[in-house]
Amino acid sequence: MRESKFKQVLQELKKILGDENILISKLDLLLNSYDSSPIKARPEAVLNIKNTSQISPVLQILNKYGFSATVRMSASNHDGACIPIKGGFVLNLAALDKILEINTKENYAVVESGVINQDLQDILKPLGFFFAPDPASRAFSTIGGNFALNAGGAKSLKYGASAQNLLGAEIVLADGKILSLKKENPILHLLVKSEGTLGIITKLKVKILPLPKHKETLIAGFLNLKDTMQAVQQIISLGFLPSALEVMDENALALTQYNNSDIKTLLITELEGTKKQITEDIKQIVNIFKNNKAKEIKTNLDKTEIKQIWNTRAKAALALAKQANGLMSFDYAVERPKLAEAVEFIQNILKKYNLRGTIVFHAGDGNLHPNIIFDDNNYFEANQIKLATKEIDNFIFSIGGTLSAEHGIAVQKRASMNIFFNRDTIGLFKKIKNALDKKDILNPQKILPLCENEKQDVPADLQNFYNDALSTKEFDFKQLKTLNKIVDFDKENYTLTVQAGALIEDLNKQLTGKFFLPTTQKKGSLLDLFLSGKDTAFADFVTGLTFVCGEGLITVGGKFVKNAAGYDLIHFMSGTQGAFGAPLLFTLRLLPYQIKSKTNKNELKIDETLIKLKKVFDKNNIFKPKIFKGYLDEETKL
Amino acid sequence: MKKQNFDTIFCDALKCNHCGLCLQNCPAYREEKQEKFSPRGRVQIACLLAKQKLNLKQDRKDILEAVKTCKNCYNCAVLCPTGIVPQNINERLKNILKITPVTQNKSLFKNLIFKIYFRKFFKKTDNLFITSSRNFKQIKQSLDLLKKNNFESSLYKESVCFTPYTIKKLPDFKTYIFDDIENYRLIKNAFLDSKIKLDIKQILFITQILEPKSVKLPEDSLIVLSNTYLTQETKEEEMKLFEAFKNKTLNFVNNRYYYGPNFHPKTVEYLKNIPQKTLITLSERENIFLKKLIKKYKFKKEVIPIQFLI
Repeated sequence: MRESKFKQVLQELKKILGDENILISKLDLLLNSYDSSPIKARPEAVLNIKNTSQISPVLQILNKYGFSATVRMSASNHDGACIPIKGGFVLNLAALDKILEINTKENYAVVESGVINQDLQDILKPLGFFFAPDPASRAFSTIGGNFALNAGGAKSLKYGASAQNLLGAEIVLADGKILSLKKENPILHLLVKSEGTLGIITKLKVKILPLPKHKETLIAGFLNLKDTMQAVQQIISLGFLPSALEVMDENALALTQYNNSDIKTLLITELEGTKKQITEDIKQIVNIFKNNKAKEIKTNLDKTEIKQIWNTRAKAALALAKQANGLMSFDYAVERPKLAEAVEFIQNILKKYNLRGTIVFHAGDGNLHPNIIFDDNNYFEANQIKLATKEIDNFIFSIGGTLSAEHGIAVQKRASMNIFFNRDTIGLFKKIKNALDKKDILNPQKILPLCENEKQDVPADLQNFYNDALSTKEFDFKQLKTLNKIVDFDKENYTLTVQAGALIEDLNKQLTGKFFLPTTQKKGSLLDLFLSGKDTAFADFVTGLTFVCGEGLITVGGKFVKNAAGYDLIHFMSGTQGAFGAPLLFTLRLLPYQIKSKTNKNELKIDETLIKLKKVFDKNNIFKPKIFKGYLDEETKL
Repeated sequence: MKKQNFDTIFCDALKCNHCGLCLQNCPAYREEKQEKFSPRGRVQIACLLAKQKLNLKQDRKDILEAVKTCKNCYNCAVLCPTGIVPQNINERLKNILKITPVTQNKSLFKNLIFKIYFRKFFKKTDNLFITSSRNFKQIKQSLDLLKKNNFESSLYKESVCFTPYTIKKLPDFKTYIFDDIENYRLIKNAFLDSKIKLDIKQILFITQILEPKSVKLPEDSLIVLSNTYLTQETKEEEMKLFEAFKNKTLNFVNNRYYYGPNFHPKTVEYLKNIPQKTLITLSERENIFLKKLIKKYKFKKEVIPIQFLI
C-alpha cells in the first residue's frame, strides 16, 4: 500500500522538479541521514529544490499522500533537527542561496533561506554594515537554519539573538499555503522559530546594522572561576553593555595551547562604540579586573593579536573533536549570577561520570556550552552521557535555567522538555502543531516529548484567573488591575519580574539609578503595552511570560536572556490584543540606558491560520470575544 | 575487498564527526550544493564502505560520480578540526576504484621537444628537480642556479596538480626540489602521512637552497601566498621558509574562491586596491589564475614567478 503510494508521489514530483533532482539511490539516502549530532536516520528520497516556488507544490503533494518533509541545508545542527526520523522526504534547500535585496537606507536585507551567514557578512562589510547574529558556525551555517533555531552567538548580549533581528519572512505551511509575514504579524516568530515543524522558511527579511565606529578587545586571565564571574557580574551591574563577554575554562585553554599556563580561566571582553567613550570604559573595566585579582590583563591589542584570540575561542570546541569521533555540544542558559555555580556543578558531574569535555561560555548572556566528547562506537560511554545529562538537566531547571539557548531542541533534548515545561504548556505546543500540520508531515517527531508529564499545582494567587480561563463566561480583563506587584527585582542580573497589571508610571518611580524599562511609553499598564503591540521592540525584551488561556496556565521563558526551547509564544502573544489569553506575569530585561523604539498602530489581521490557532488557545471564545466574533462561525459552516 | 581491508585503509575517515565545516570551503559543493559532492560526503562514503553499508560493486556508479568531483584544492583539509585530510581519503577511494588520479594532458610533441632540449640534464645525481613551469627559459635558469649552489640535479616535469599517489611513480632520489609551492606542499603532506611510506630524505622548495638574502625582490612587490594544500602540519615549516621576507612583502591571500568560473569579489577587490605593482607567485597554477583574473577585471599588475628573481 505504502509502496504504491510512494511510487505515485515520485511520479507527481517528477513533473515539478524533473528527474535529476529526485535522488533515490542508496548512496544519496545514506549521505542525507546524518548531521553534526550523533543521531542518524535514513530518508526514503531526497529532493533537490532549486527554486523557492517549487516548495509549495511539493508540499501539497506530500500533504495529500501523508509523507513527511524534513528540510536540510548545511546540516551543521547539534541536536538532529534535520534528521528524517520518520523517514519520508528530505528537502535539500541549500541551493536557495541568493541575496535578494540589501537596503542600507532602511537597514534591512532580504535573503533566501540557504544563504550562508558569512557570505552575507562579507557582502555587507564594504557597505559599512553588519548582520548581528554571529554563531560560532557562521562560516558554514545558513541564515534559514540560524533563524529556525534562534541561534545567537557572542554578540547577542548587545544586539540580541536571531529573533531580535527578524523583520519579516515568507513561509510555506504544511498544506502548501504561502504566507508572507511582516514584523507586526504575531505568527511570524511562532512559525519561523519552530525548527521547521510548523512551516518551511523560504525568504527572510533581516535587520542589518551600521558597523561600530570603534572596537576594542580586552583580555583578562584569572586564577579561578569565581573571580572571573565576579568580574563579569560587576561589569554588567555597573551598567556596561559589552558586545561580547566570553569565558574559556582550564581544559579549553589547555587544548587550544594558550601560551600562559598559570591562568585557569580567560575572559575576553569586546567593546563597541565611540572612541572617547570606550577609552573611559576601559579604564573602569581594567580596575574591575584588578579588584578581582586578575593575573594577566592585556589592552591595546593589535589586529593580529585580536584575530588570534578569537581564533582560539572558535577552536575551543573544534580542538576537542580531534580526540574522539563523537561530540555533544549543549547550550544551557541560566541567569548570570548563577553561572559559576552551574559551571562548577557540570565540572563535577563530568568528573563523576569520567567524561572528557570543555566548558566555554558567553558569560554576558548567561549561556554556557559544555562540550563533551565520546567514542561513537562505545555504548557504555554513550550511556554515561545520558545519565550525566539527566542530572545536569535537573540541576539547571532547579536554578531556573533554560534547556536550550541557541541550538534548539530537535531530537536530542526532546525527552528533557518535560522537566522544563509544565503539562499544560506541552499540551498547548502539541495542539498548535496539530492545528497547523494535521498529518504531521513537517519535520515530524521533533521538539515535543512523547510521554506526558504529571500535572503541577497552580500557585494560589493565580488560582482565580486559572478557574476563569477554563470556564465558559467572558474573561474579565479589568480584574487584572489588582495584579500590580513587583515579584522580583534582580539588580545584579538586570531583570524585573512583575505582575501584568503593573503601571509603567509606578514602575519607573521604583526603578532608580541605572535601570530603565525597555520601552519609550510612559503611561498605561504593561499588559496593555504588551497586548497592543504598540511598541515594536518591547516583546524582544520580555524574557519570561506566564499567561492563562483555554488550555490552562502556560509558562514560557525565565530570567535568562537567550532562549530557543519550545515554540516562541512570547512574541506570539504580543500584539494579539488579548484574543488568545491573558498574561499574568512578565519577566523583563532591564537596560542601562533609555531605549529608542518606534511606535505604530497595530491591528490584528485575521486570516485562516489565526482562526485555526484561536480555536486551539480559546475554543469557547471567552477572551475578547468581539475580535473573532464573525469569523469562528463562518469556519464552522464551511 | 573484505571489510578488514577497508577498515585499515580508511581508519582516519572514521574519525570524521560530520560537523560540516568543510562544506562551504569546497568549490565542488559550492557549485552543486549536494552532500555527495562535498568533502564530508566523500569521507562518509569511505566510512560507509568500511562499515559495509555500501557495496563497492553495487554502488560503484554512484561512488564514482561523487569521487570524481573533487578538484584537489585541499581547502577542506585546512579547516578540518579532526585533523584528517579528506582529499587524501578521496585519493585512496580513487585507487580502490582504479581510476587514474588527475594528471595533465601530455602532448607528445611538446614532451619530445622538452626531452631534447633538456637532454643533458637527465642524468644520475642525488637530487631531482621537479618543475611544473611551462617556460623553458625559466627551467634552465633554475637548473643553472641549482648547479651553482652544489645541488646538481636531474630534471623531472610534472603538471600543475599532481596527487600524493603519483609520487610513487617518481624515480628514486635522495632529495626532491620543487619550484612549485603547491606540489611541494602536496609531497610534504604525503611525506608526513605515516601511511604512505616514502624513502626520500629531503623535500625542498627552491628558495630553501639559497641564502634568503640572495632572493632580490623588487621594491613594490607582494608575494601572493595562498593556502592551497596547506595543512596544520606543514604550516609551521612554511613559516620558517618565508621568515626572511616576513616584514617586507609577504602576505597571505586566502584563495578559497580562486577556483571555479567566478572569482570572489573579495579577492578581486583586495588585489585591485593594494599599492604594490608586482605580484610574485610561487606556483604555476597561481600564476595562471592571477593572470586570468587581471585580464578579466582589467586592472594593471605584473605577475612574475619567483624563479625569475633568483
